[in-house]
Amino acid sequence: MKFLSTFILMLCLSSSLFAQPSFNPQAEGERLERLWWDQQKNQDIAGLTKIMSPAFQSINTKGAQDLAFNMAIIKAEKLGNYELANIKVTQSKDNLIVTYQIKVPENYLGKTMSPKMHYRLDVWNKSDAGWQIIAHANLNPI
Amino acid sequence: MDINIAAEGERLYRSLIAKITACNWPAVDAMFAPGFQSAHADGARDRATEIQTIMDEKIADCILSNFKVTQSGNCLVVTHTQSVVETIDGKRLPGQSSPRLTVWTKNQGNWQMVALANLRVI
Repeated sequence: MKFLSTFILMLCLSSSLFAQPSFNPQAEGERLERLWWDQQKNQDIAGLTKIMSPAFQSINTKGAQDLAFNMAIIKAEKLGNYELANIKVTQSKDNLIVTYQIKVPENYLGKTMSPKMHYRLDVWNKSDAGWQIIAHANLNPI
Repeated sequence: MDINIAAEGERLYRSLIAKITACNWPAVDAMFAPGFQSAHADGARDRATEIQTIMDEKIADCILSNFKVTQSGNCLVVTHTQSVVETIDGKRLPGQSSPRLTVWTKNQGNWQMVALANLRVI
């Protein structure tokens, strides 16, 4: 009897020690967005290189841009303080789809963008490299 | 995935448009992944709202161009330009064009769209 109760106690302890916290897509998506926008604001190129997939593509009203173009824009245009709202995260297998509104002082190729709240969409993909952003849409008209 | 991603990405979007113009709604529904979201100038939409909007809009013929496809693991990121065809004096002419972005992932062997951004200015 004593052996059995000791065994059950050990089993409970081991399962609580190795239990994985349940994945919360909403919290993870919000964390990733704030990390990415902080990296852009701080022009943290090393961090951005890790978090942005080589397959990354973005679009705005002028067209599509690849990773190299986006990195050049981030290096050239200093962002101001940003404000995120209405963040909605959904999950589809190893992907997080995030829509949100943002208010951020920014320039695009020398043009000052509207500082009003507008929508964005991002897609994050989990791979051996961790979470990486693979797509970004900026709905702020240029 | 051992595929020609440029051809596959373009084929997927053209297939979606063909199903929409044919009003093949079960096939359209099957191309949207659970968790799908879209973004438009007037806001974000979930899967059900996006499909209902497409069904209500009755999309006309459109010209698709400038496809660019990249791959990340099991995902394809597709950007292209889309313009609705207008008929003026009997001639079919492209209307105002705007960029689109779609992201596709394989789900049980079938490609499904997880995200769409429509940059048409409203």
